[in-house]
Amino acid sequence: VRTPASQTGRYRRGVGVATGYWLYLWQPGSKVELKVKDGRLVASTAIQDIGTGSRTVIANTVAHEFGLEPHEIEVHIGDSNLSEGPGSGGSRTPHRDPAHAASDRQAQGRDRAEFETQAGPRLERAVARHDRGIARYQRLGGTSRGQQTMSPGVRSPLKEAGFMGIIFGWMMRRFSNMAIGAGVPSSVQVIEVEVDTWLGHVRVLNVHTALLSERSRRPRSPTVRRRAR
Amino acid sequence: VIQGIGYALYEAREVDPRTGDILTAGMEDYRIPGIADTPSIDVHFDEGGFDHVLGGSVGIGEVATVPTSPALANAIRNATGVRFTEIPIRPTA
Repeated sequence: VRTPASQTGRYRRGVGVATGYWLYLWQPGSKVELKVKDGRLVASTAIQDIGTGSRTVIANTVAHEFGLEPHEIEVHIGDSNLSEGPGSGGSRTPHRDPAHAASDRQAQGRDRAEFETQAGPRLERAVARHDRGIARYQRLGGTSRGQQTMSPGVRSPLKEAGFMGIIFGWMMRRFSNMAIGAGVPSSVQVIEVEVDTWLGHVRVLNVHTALLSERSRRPRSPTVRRRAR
Repeated sequence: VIQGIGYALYEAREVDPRTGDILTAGMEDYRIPGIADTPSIDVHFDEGGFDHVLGGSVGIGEVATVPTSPALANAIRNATGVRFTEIPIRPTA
């Protein structure tokens, strides 16, 4: 692309680049309650599915953990009387890394399931394979451990806002069960435009964009792969 | 990306200065990109960068839109030499 000074005529082209930053949110108190009822594994949490797949993600995650098929998991959502769940927004609904669920379970190994004794043989085997049993509540997010694993130099944006940031962070945690974490510059775009210098119209010709995204749903740890079989 | 283009070039809430009524109250008047405004888009996902986040999962809806308007403004600057610092960037700006 030529520089502005080198271009003449009505239509002129240019290329621009920019990066994007966004913080991330989590809801540390969110839980999924798991219980066996009428021979089925039931996962319950007070979340809404707004078309972003919350129901599917919960079913897939729980099924993966127990070596079952997603259709064997009964998901109950959309009711405030269920255990506290995270919010549903346009860019973020609860997603759960199965490998991380395993690490949570180790932390909560003492919190064994209080099963009703209605499980069918297959579900009994599935639960038995789950060597540490089933935690009655699986956290969807974390608190202190998450802070401890924060990379050096990656600070919550609220930390930069001084006293007001502390107050705002406390209010978000207290009233919305929401923690605001540090993001990283995680998107970049290169855009080519054509400008009509007579009429002022801008036509976007090409956009190349790259995003840092979450890890895929592939099991990461040998422990999880073994359980998946 | 398309939403970001609308944010950069088209979307604006127009208010009647005399009455305060919203003039762009419906989809007929509120300009957003259509298929004719949509460019060729190439998207690359890089799985990583959020290892400091518990579970490694983050929302990417916002951050995908954030760089569009400054990248567009930079491209227009590159094409014309004119630096725009307000959006939407319209012929009347």
